[in-house]
Amino acid sequence: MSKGGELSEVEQEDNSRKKKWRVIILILLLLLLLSIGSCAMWQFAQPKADPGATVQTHEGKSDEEVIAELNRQAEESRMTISVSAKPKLADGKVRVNVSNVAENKFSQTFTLSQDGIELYNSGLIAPGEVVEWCEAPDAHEGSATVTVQGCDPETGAPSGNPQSVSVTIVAADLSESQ
Amino acid sequence: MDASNKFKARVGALAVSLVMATAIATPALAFADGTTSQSTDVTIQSVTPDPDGDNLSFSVPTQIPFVAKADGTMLAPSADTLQIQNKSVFPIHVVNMAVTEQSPFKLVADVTAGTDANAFQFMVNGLQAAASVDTSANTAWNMGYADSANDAISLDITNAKIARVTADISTPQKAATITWTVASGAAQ
Repeated sequence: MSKGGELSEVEQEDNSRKKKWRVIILILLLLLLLSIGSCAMWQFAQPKADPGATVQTHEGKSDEEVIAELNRQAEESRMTISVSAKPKLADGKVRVNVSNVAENKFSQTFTLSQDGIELYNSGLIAPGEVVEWCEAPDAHEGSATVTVQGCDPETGAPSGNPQSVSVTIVAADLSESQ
Repeated sequence: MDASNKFKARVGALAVSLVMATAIATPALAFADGTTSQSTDVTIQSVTPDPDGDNLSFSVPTQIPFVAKADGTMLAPSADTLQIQNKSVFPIHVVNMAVTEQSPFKLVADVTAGTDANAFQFMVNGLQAAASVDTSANTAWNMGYADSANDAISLDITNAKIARVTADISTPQKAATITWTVASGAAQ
């Protein structure tokens, strides 16, 4: 330091250089953080492929090895569908009795349709849960369709193709008669 | 296969996948079987759900993945894996198989006969895959009640081929949806 506490020219230059380096390092750090953040967002934004829906390349694998992999994927996608074959209609409600059996790996949702019109759309049904009745004030006796969609148990996203069940809605009093 | 049927494949094995949906028809029959004693009539009735609910239940793979080889043949899961298994207390049977192609893939009877791009074919249990195949009168598609000796049917996929591929199948692509329609009772 020069007399009087003022910085010498050399010291000023030195400080200035250090400042520049600090700024450069700061910018580099910011760029690095931005890159990491962008990568993370890109990864997060990638659509999750249906589990077991696809098979990648199989260079160097025998047919038996490929089939074993296909078997695994098919079996992984197995789901049990259980609905009332003759849902009862009472007071604007239909007893669909959609049961997502406990051993299923997927959550389920279902829709009830009749005459091409969707009458009811459910929320997620976890394995082990049952939806017995659903609100369907426009339902009438006759043919209808219950469509069950498997869903990823963690994200709720559709997984695999839906399973459609054609049913016949009957009046509650008639179905109970012997 | 002629020279025009060349693939865009970058590697030896490519992939397509079919996904499957299933439909069930309502019970078409209500069985009634009566036996009588000297003083008591006993009737047995199945199919019609009782208040506790005799659901029509079955398990099925929701996806059927295929792998297309460079020679145009396709590998599929084995029949033992592709089973529809009845979990109902009454018999059921498959009344219809419907295959809905997904663009740009084209379902055809014979890939060597046409000029459609991305044409594919396959058979299930000896039946050609098509938009609608009636199996209601075919007893081979019957399934007995749950835990009986014949409570499941295997789906044997054969003669699976693909040709004139223009789609990028280096990553798996959905080629079709297969819908099974199942009804209670046995095929007549």
